[in-house]
Amino acid sequence: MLWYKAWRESRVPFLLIALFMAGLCIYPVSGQKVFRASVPISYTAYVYIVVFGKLGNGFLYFPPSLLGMGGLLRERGRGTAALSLSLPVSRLRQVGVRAALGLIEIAALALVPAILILTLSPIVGESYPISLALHFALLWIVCGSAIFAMAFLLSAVLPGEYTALLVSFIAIRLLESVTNMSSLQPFSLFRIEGGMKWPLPGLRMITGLPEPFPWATLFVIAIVAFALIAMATRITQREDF
Amino acid sequence: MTQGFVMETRNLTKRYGALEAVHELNLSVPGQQITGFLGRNGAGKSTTIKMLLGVVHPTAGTGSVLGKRIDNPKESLEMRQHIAYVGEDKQTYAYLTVKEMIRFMRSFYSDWRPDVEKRLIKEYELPLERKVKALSKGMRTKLALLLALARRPALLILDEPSEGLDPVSIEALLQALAGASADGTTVFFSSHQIAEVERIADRVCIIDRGSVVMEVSLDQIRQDYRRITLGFSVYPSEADFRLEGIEHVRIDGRQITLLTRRNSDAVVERAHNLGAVSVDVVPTSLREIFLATVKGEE
Repeated sequence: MLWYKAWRESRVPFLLIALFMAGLCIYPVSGQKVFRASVPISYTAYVYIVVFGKLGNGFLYFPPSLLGMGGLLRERGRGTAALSLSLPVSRLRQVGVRAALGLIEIAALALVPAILILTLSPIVGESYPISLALHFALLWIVCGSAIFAMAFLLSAVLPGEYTALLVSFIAIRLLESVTNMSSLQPFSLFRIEGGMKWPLPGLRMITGLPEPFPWATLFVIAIVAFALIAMATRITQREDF
Repeated sequence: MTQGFVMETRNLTKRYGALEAVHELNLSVPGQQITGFLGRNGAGKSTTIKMLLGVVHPTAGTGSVLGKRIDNPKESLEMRQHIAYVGEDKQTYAYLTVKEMIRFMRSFYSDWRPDVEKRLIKEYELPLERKVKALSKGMRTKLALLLALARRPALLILDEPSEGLDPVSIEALLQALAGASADGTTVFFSSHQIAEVERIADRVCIIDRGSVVMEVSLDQIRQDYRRITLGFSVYPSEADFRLEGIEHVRIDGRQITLLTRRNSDAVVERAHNLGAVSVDVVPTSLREIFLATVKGEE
């Protein structure tokens, strides 16, 4: 039932984000013929520009931060922390379930564009490679998990209903700005998530085909995400509620 | 755990920066009784309860509940299997309905009693399909009580359980607690409502400024505690009444009022020897003891 509780706490933002993302995929794909008429580019490139490129940046900003909020510190503010901690469940499990569900939700959201593109493409008379859709989905999952882990840690440290969320947005903006500097560009989550060599060429030159999969980078990002969640767990175990 | 005590603390201390919420608290709560944990607002009752449950970590000292150390996460987890807790603000998860909240709690405990759950839902007139956030404070309290009473825990801990309840509901609550005790559950509840404690408790612990200042059974109060009021023709001295068994002394002009734990005969004899013109010995109440103890600490 801890899973059920975690789901009930996060289902509203999760479903709203999923719906919003679906809308942002369905609209440009269904009208692709009209949109592509002005710029003659391939369907693959078009999908990259309107979905995996454009939507990708927004994906890193909002869903992981919103889903990373919550936990016992917020419950303390709402007066339910003592009830949760009086249950015969360890703090480790309480935090673990919430983190695991959050990561599953990030993965599910990252798959929304991939699934929709693969479903809608034949309907609009186009085709999109499964491998490419899954390629971007995996990039989104790993990069989204890192931002989720940061938000998760912030929500374990900062009390207040919206403080952690606000700080999370500021931190993401800072991260984006700092890693935008030329020497740090290889570490930019936004660019890794986009899967392309930077700087991007002009619209007509974009192929929509990503760089080879950056396994080592993604592995490092996953380790960092795990470390941030472990840190949040440790803090929660020591905290008084 | 000492024989017969379900909860024990030794020098339990909790500091928040410079503020010492609980100071070297020594508490012994016997099993299968109702113990009232009495203290003023801010005396340290809630912090003590939260330390016993593992919600707050002690700064110093030790404690055990049902024979499990409160500062050991594994033992604390085992202990919580056998404890039901009703928190100070009776908050449950606002986004769940009453029915979902009951189902959620039921899933964690093997000692859940569906028949009691059904009876209490009916008795408390709880709207099963309503969201918890839409419940009144009284209804929220009733739901919290149902979640605790539908089980058969070894220990029931309640923090200010009657707060926000109307007189009829308070009566039902007190009966429910007495019933739980009769079923073999040890009941430990904090309150600053002396009348409630006096009505159902077998034993009372008085806490003031983070320390236990008195642990006594209600029977002992009835049998042994006395208020002795003495009148003198001259101004009496407190030093004349430094006798064993005297808990509190108050002097108002030529009148002296003593609260005795025992030895009241010796006090009366001393009063006669000192030329008291009036001697009045009456049984005392928990209220008097509480006020004398807490004010005496000031």
